[in-house]
Amino acid sequence: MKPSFYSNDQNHREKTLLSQQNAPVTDSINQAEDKLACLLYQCQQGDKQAFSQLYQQSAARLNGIAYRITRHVDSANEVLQEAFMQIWQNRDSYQSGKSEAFTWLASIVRYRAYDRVRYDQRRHQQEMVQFNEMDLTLEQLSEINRNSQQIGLGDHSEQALNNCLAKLEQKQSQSILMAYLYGYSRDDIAHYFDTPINTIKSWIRRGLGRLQLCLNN
Amino acid sequence: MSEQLTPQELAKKSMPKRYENPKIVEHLASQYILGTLTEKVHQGVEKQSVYNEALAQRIHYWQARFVSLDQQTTELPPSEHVWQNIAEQLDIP
Repeated sequence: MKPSFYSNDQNHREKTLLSQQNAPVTDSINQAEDKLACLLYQCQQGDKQAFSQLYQQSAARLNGIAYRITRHVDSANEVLQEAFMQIWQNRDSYQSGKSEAFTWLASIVRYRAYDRVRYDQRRHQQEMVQFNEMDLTLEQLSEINRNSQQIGLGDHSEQALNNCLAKLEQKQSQSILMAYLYGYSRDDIAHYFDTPINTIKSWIRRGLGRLQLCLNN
Repeated sequence: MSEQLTPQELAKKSMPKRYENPKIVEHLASQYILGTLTEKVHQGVEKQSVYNEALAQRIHYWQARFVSLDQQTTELPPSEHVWQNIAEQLDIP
């Protein structure tokens, strides 16, 4: 039997901890967004106390994203630390008119977390450790299904994305969500579906094309 | 005499032609935000997006569409040492 991500005690504790918290509600997102944008502006003026507040306001949400991708509490913390160093160093590249503050922060964390997952995977492969990253847990599958089928919940952009994902072929939406939510590479997805990588590339490309058409309508 | 170019103009001049094709820009931007590009291409897109307005705009478009998945993600408070390490490195009291 292939091991699941939550096969040991530590991960079980992490899972229990996660399930005790609620995702932020949509109403509070807009207020939080204004605050983050304001703090980022102050950071651009060199205000390190604003940076400290930015961390307090966003660290738990961003760490949740890092954990979603790395599936490990320590790795998530390391990704978060690296991401915040990058946020401070690149603070001048944030442009409030072009991107929302949370979107900008979350993107930095996501790309760091994707890098981390792939680095760990390469290292594990080199060490020849029996380690199956390709197993989706039931929890992850239900999250993917929830996202690709949920209709009529959440705010406008959330609803639009969910509605449009639900209109794709299931393999297309699953591949897209596996990449975005959990950092699966195209190789990982090909392994999971036991399908050639060119097929996966085509699922993702076509899926994104249809998604764009739907989102623009 | 050779024309003096700003760093932005130089970067634009050395930009691979494929970054000017709208279809390729769409492909690169959408797969960039999914994290499905190879490391080398991902870094290339990141670099080019600083000077290529069309590419940057499409990346913003896709990020804004997908961010609701991040907004729905369950919070997980980090360990206290994360901020301590950051504050130490940036000399924040």
